[in-house]
Amino acid sequence: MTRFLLRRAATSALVLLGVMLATFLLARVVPASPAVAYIGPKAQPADIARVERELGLDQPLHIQFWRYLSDMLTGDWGDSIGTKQPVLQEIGTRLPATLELLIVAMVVAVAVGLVLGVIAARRKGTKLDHLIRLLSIGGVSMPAFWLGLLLQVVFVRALGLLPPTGRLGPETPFVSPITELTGLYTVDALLTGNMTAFGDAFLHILLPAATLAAYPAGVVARMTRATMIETLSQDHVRTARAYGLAERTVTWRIALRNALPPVTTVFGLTLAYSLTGTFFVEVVFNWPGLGQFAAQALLNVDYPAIMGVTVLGAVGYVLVNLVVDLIQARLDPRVGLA
Amino acid sequence: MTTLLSVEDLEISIGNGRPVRGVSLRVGPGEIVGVVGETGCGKTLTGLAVLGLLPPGAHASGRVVLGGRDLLGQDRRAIRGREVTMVFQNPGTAFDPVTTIGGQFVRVLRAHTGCTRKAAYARAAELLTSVELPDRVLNAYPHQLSGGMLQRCMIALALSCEPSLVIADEATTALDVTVARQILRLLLQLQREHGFGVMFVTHNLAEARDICDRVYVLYAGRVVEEGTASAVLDGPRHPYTRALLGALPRLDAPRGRLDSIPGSVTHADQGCSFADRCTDVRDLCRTELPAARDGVACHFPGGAA
Repeated sequence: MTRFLLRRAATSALVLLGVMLATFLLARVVPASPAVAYIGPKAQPADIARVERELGLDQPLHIQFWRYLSDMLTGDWGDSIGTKQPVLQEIGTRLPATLELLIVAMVVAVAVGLVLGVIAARRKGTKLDHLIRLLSIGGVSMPAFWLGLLLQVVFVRALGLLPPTGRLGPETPFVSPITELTGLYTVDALLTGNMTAFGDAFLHILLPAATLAAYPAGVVARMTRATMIETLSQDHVRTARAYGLAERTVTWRIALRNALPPVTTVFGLTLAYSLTGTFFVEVVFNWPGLGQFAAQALLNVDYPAIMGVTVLGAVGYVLVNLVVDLIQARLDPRVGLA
Repeated sequence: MTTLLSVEDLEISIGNGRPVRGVSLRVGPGEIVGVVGETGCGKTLTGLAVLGLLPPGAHASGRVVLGGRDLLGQDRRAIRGREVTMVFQNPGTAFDPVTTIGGQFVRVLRAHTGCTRKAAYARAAELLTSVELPDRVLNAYPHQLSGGMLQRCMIALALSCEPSLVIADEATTALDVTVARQILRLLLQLQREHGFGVMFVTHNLAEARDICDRVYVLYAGRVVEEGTASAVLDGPRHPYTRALLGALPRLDAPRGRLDSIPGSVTHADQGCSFADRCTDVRDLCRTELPAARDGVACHFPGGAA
């Protein structure tokens, strides 16, 4: 276990180094000079040269990279060109919103995907199975920004059931302000017993979370269906039935338990996709998180911000995959940590 | 003679096929009854039909009477694992790969007795002792155990709720010969202690002769010969039984000759299904299905007379 973690830490560090090199080079290769973006469109050649010197852009590439690397490691991620604030601080204030959205969406995706997949497998070939397949294909193939707009049109504009955008309604911060503990509004409101704010935050997160959950839910449902059909036909499931176990136990406790390892693997892979998905979802729902920040940074050629978010995303992805591997070993005793 | 299990005129159809075509057999309390025949003759399906575990799409008709109740068409979940249990062919795949052996025992024991987890573990350890396995096997996962150990576990699981009937479906086929012998001896010993009836499904005639009281020989979904193990296997009257016995490799036979039965199992629409492979076939065999007389379903039992 310790050896496994050490080895994984080493490979992860290599992956992160690669990602940082790639983002660094990308920022240097793109023709728009960061100095120009920094000063503004009316920059004079003399100013550009001065700023380039200040930002160290006149140094050779390897020195620039070394400086970039050591700055990143010591917590200096540079200042955002757009907001003139330290990138790390910008990320810190927006991360909780994104985390909340991601966590809720992923929990929903796994729960819905597993249940639909199991039902489809049990009812293989029926109308219900076809309906679920249609839903999961829809979830996988529908672009997030379009699904988000569609949901807004239906639930906000037409039915008027849910609030349009943002994390909270306009009055909530004044009527029943949330004491920030974790930065996840729903959690904070629950912890402090602020039920008005919880209700408001909950209603606000429904649509963006559903939009973000559609893709992974579809993937999980399809994978669950396929592996469940396979496990339900295995010898040991017949043994369980032959020994009088209830069909409910056979399906949910034995077959689903056996189907989990491959489902976990594909779910881990879709997480990377969902990370990018937050970009669109946050813009569509005006969700004040990292995705929105990154989208703005991209439009403003805000290199420090783009690089910061990219590196953070890479760290997140590496961590998630480490967790997936650990879960995998937990779920299947035949899988060793090597 | 009292009857524990009686299968009467069992027919099983899957789609257009009819793999079992009117099998009748009987197992008395504490009796070991062999059901022998080659692959595809319907022996395993007959065993599965008793438990109501036929594959989806299969339909069974006839009667399966256990302890005076007709089971066919009934929900048999309550009797599975409690009154009738099954020992399967491939111990390596018959256990849940992601649950410890102990966990699987607990699952079954608690489903039937509703006892506490702790009591179930204690009982499981007791059961493992009776099949000569150490307690630590409880904490092992199936992939950590050998085929022989797993089959011992299976037998222990089968005995967990003191069943009156154990269906052993090719229980030794996947094991090597010496391990198979040990498993057979264990099964026999436990059978004497507990007195359950055994339906011993096998294609291994030597094993059937060694442990069975009576045997039924199945061919193409029908019983072609029945009787005491010694009568049938030492003095076979049906040409199929003779051919099966002739196909057993023998150490005292001349080297280089291994007999087999030409062709494979086919279901004839008319006449005797074995006619195409029978060495003593006559015209009558191809037109008329032989009825069972004195325990043998053949127009010309005992060979060319």
